[in-house]
Amino acid sequence: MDLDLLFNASVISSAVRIATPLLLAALGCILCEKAGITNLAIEGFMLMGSFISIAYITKSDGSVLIALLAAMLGTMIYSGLFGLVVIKFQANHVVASIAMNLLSVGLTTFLLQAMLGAQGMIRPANIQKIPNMELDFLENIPFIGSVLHNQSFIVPLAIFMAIALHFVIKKTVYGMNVVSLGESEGAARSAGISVKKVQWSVILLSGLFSGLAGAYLSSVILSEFSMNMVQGRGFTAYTAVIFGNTNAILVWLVTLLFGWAEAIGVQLELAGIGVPSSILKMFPYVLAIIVLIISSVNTKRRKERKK
Amino acid sequence: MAYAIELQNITKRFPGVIANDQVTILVGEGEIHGLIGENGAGKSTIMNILYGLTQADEGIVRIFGKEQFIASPNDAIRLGIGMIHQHFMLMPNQTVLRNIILGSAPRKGPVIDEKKARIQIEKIMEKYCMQVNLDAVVSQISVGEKQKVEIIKALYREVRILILDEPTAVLTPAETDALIETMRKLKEQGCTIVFITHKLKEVLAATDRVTVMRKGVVTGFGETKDMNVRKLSELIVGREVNFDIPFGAYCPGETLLELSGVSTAPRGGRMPVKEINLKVKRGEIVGVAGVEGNGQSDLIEVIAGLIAADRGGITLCEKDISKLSIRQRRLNGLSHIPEDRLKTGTSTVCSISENLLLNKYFLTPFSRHGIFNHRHIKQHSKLLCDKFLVKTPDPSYELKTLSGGNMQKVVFAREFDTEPSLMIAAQPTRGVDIGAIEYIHGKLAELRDSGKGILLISAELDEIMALSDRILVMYEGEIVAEFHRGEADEYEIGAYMLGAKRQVAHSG
Repeated sequence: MDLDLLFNASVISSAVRIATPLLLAALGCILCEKAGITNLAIEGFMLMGSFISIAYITKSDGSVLIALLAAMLGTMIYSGLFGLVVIKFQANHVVASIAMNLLSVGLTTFLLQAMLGAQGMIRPANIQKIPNMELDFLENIPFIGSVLHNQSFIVPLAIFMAIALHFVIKKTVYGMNVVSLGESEGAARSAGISVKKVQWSVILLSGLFSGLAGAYLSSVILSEFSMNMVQGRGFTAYTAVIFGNTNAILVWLVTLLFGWAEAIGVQLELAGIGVPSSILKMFPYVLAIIVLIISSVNTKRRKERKK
Repeated sequence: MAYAIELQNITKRFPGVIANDQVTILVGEGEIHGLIGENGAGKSTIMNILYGLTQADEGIVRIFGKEQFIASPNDAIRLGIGMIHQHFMLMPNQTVLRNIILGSAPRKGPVIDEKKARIQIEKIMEKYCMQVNLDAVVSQISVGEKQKVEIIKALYREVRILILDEPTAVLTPAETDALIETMRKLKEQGCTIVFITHKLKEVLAATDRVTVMRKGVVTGFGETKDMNVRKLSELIVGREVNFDIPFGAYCPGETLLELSGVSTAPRGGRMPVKEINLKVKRGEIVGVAGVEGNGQSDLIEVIAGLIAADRGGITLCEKDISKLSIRQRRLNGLSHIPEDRLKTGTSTVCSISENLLLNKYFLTPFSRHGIFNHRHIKQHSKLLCDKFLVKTPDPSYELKTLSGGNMQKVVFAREFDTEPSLMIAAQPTRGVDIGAIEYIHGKLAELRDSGKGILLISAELDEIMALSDRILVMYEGEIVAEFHRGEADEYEIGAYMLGAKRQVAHSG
């Protein structure tokens, strides 16, 4: 097979585009994971974000920028429900996440019909897209130029936020408080850290980030909302968080890997090599399983070598 | 005399129990105050109230003469109260420095100022002569060092009152002495210390005054110099305690258990044993001393059959048992009190009577062709509960309704009842109160005197020294020393436990 087919600029460019919502959702999830909260509900948060932004566009003048903000705010409020169940009522995190995800599918489908009068999907005609970046000055740099060229401003924003999150966790007081919860709740409590406040903050932030991730997916990439359109991207983001060992920079690289796997699938399908598309679509997930096995074997070996 | 802490008539009720009933504790400024009592006496509850982790239902708290309502640890920290918990409150994967500054880090804007923190901490370490590597990760430092980190953490918060909850439970004798020395230094600097423990020797050595609690009430208080071991233990237990274990003469018979060159394979997070040679004879108790995590767990499990030996032979009554299953080993006369009674010793959701029969339910008359004989089981478990003084209204209750001491008695009854020729007793009195300790020690002595062998593994050096006819010391998976009763004192043994000394040849 031609290697160029796997690594040409258009594959990488779409890999970056596909990786961005994964990364955004993963950022909130990293905070939760660091604070000892297993947050699989980002799947449902993303779906809610997708819906809110398209709903806003349909009902208003169609500004995508305001729709993004509305989705962030709305999803943050929505994530409060997860916070209530997990923090206040101390429910099992995984069960609460599953409930949130099922609720999100039902609720968005219902609201789609009740509010927007559409069945299954909606494609607002009045959408006013934000123009993609025209980075002429980058054009002379080979590869990077063509990868970043013609992307949404959300792409560099997400990368910047990953780096910022990395700094926050490593260097700031807030970051240390978050980490202390996951490490030892007793240590946090006896140091006078208000455990519940920090827990609320990470869940609400994960709502905020997932809302943006979902809105990016629906309003920026696809310009439409359809039933259950997130299709496991939230779970993929969670997988990236675990692989990347909750390190924001590593997680970013892992999301790129997943994005690349998906982009390859599309590329191969277009090239018409005769493999059914349903098999190609499995590629990112097969890759996820392989990487998980490799990373767990590695950690086990490293632990044994230490002894 | 001015009081640093005045707890007046504190009452705290939990559903079904009164943890503290009209408890009054007065601690003078700048004194080391001992708070002693059995497990469940309410010591931890009253200290948690003082530290704001829980709130009293009735009563008044005064700190330095002023009435206070302490709603959270934050309030306590603000009042200058620091608490060092029995289970360390540390973040395992973070550096010592970060653990110390957690919750009160010096900052530049939102960013932590590590440089400034380091200077402050180094000053404290110098003042109190405590040195810890600030860049070490907590999971990789020793227990004694972790405790130092906890103390520095409190000092960093400029505490004026320091509560130490069972601080010596995990320390070697030398580390305990160092801790008491540190406490004296803190006192010289004007710090008030509340020292919670159940070890009488330490109370008498370290404190100025003492308060004794039993079953939620204060049963005595006064100057330490007016107290002695006998008086304190009577106040703690509520009756006279017999400390002298009634032993017969030491006359070992033939070898029961023999390990020759036993090694285990390393597994994640555990210290394997290397080339272990040891013998346990009829009518003797062989004690294995050592800081926890030096291969004791592997030693116990390789004999009991929970893990396989990599190399070497294990014989019981001259029969090779190293390839036998756990049940086969038990049927050949081995019994085993596991070191962790909650994890491997019992099933807390099963009934007391089911727990009593775990090692013999498959034998007649308890079951026949796979069908239980409930009438017999009921009779037998009632008999065992009576005989081994398990306090329960009915053996069909769930095991978790019992206190730690009573749970341990259930385990003990089960293992004792099979009339084993060799018993492995691992941490037989961990987390058990003085009354139950007295009972279990008496039973072990009885077993020894009836011509059985006991391999005793304990983290409590006092227990090893009181019971063992021979003492083996383990360090990093090897037996590094052997003593007969009375050949070495606790400091000598402690030196071997820490790897500072090592006997060249030992017969095992």
